[in-house]
Amino acid sequence: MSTKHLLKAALVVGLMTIPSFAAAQDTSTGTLTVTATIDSSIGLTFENDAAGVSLAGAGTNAATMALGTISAYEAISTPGVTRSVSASDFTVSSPFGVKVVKANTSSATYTLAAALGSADATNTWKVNATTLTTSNQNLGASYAYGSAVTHTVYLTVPFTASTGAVSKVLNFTATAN
Amino acid sequence: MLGFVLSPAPVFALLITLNFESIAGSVPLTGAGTNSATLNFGHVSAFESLNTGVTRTVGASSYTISTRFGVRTTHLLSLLSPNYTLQARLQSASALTWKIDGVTMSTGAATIATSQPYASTVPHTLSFVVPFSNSAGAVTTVFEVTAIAN
Repeated sequence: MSTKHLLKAALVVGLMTIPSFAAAQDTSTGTLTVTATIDSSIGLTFENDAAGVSLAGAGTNAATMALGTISAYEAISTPGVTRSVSASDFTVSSPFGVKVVKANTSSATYTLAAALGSADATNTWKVNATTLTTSNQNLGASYAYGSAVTHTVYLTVPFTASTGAVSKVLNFTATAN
Repeated sequence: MLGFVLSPAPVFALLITLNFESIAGSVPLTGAGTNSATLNFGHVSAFESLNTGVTRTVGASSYTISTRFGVRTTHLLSLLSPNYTLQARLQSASALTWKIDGVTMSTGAATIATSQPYASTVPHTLSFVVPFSNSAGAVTTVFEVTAIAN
């Protein structure tokens, strides 16, 4: 067979072959390795208590409890605020909830502590029966996860205190047991 | 001459290439620009802080971790293929739920996207769901990602 015939045969075969290759599925594959380390953690949120002041930011870990205008003898209009008056001071209080959720841990309970964000030389702050300072005070050592636990904040104001606005940050820390 | 015409398959196989690319603002890939890359989320949890580029949504009983990665596919003869289909699968089964662009991954190939353009980095979202009940510890999963010329 001459060279001319070979080229012609090649051309014929090529024309018959190329369309089939063009139709064939052309693919390319890569591998993506994904790594992570899952850590245990717990999350704390403040929750409304039905008998207490409605929190701004309920359901988050940064809430505000506005007690409104308080005094020893005038009416207190803020729903959820309770008052008691003694000989030299008065105390207002409100319940609120703390909910702690756990993730990726076998911990069964948690410890709750609270502290004032800054010292208060005039008023006294308590959570439940515990007087707060700027150092963490233990509020309980075996709280259950997953549901709001009711606590009550108390603010005691001496009759000698000046009138005016009061604002205080209370920091809460939950620690997995 | 006949031999050349009858065995062009290897040439065609080289027409399409797939590389993984980093996406700005997301977790950077080790091996970006190649077809074998690693994406390390680092330490993840439901409530603690996360690495830059990692996002999280927390639900009642689980949380979802996500970031983005890019796929860049090229084709030497674009006349033969206007675009490509992207598929992915897990190399082995995982106790966690993995998704790419919202498509749940398994060991069987799943289509992530169709009509993907060549020669540009297309971002995709990779996410996985961690139940609160899942044990802490290291997680490694390998994805096979395949571009199929259309």
